[in-house]
Amino acid sequence: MSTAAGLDQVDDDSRRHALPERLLEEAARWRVQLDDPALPRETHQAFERWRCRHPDHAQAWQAINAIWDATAGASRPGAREALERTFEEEQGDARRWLGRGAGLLLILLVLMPLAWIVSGIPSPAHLLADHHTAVGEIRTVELPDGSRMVLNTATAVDVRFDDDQRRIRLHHGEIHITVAPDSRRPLEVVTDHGRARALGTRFGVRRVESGNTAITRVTVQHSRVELCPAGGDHCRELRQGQQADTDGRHVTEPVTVDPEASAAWTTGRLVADDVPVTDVLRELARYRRGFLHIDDTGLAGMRVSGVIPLHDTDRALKALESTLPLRARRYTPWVIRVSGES
Amino acid sequence: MFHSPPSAIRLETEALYRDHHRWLLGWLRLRLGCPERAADFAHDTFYRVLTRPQPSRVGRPRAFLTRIATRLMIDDSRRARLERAWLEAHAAFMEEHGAAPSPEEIAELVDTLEAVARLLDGLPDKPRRAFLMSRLDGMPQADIARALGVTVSMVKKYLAQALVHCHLALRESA
Repeated sequence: MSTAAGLDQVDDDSRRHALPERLLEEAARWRVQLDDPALPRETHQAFERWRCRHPDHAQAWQAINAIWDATAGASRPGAREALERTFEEEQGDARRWLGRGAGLLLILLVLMPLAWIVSGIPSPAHLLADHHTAVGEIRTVELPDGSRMVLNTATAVDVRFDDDQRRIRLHHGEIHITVAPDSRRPLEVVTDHGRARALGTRFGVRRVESGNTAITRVTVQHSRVELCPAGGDHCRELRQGQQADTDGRHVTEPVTVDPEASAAWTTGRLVADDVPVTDVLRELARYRRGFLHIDDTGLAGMRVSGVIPLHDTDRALKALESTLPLRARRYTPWVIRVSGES
Repeated sequence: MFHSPPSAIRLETEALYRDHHRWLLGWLRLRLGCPERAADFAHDTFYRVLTRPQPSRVGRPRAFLTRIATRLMIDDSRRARLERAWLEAHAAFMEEHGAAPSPEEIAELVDTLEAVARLLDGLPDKPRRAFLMSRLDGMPQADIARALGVTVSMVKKYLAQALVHCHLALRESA
């Protein structure tokens, strides 16, 4: 039963009999007393005596306790903050909210993660990586051996080159590498899920994270790459135009992709060839700070082809809005919901 | 979703609609500056009139209609605020947990928040905040006392006051 319905239920109970306020106050005081986990036994017994003294006591208790339980049922992350914010806005006195020391700690706890989103930096650890990009940023880095590495949005990597090996650790995001030939020192890109070893080439490595699952996806633009899972030795060799994923245990069967389209992001473009618009929106969301909600149901079956600029996702969204029957509702600059036009 | 309303209400609503719909539309347009939204609110107003539990002799029909329409506009802006505030607060949570709510879940949650907000209307700040911390965030009374800068026995007083207030609000709406 939803909480709204739960409150309706309470509603019905309270209709039956208008209890005197004095009794309701007594019941409420008991309810609050009993909330104390270290309640002495005697207090509990005193409560039971009070409740049994008169049917009205029992009824008042029931009415008050129902509210106590039903309101707890409305508990959701962000629910209290949303209610508080709404009340404060309605009172038209936002300054008092921040000025009072009381709620300040709680407010900070809410605002700090928001600050990370707004700053475009995925996490504090991100800043400690050798190379990193913010959300929406695409950057090229020349490596000491002459290899060229492009970091896609919200990416963090560590680079470890020594006499024997060239190793790049991808912590977050996506990179594309044009490897400088060096037969003595192989170049490897390592993630939690596996490692991709270049056999002299151009290729991309991306950590794909959705919900609780994460994998590493490797796409080869030129020549060959060997992909091995972190916890296994069943490696696969990927050829030009092939793409495969690893979850740490297995490597999937390679699929064929357009090698140039899959690396188009390195030049700030997204190339779509008759793909679901939801896929395009999910890609755009990677380049945006904040939260882009996609209405999968309302947008089902809508497909799109074209070249979409990644450096200005607001413009990209407007372009999609003007060519397709969809609507982007802006709540704030960083909360947008895209849905089908009804 | 009309469950064949009693004919007294239906006839009364028809008369109200015939005589005042156009006027109400103009009144709403003036306030909203948007013909589509004015039409929506006018429609909702008459729906409210039609589905109210008991017919009441309407003495001043235009005052009656604008009172309903005003209530609807207030509720609407509260819903929009709740939804926006929740999405913002929730964005932080989602960044950590990666679970995006569906529009249906959002709508249901806003219904719930609206129901809670209606119960708390008119309650002073501190009791309201104490109550929300206790019920929605499950905070122990000692933590609430610290957060509000008051004693635990004061928090107990706030919580009891809020419970009675909610009960009376429910009773009034019934």
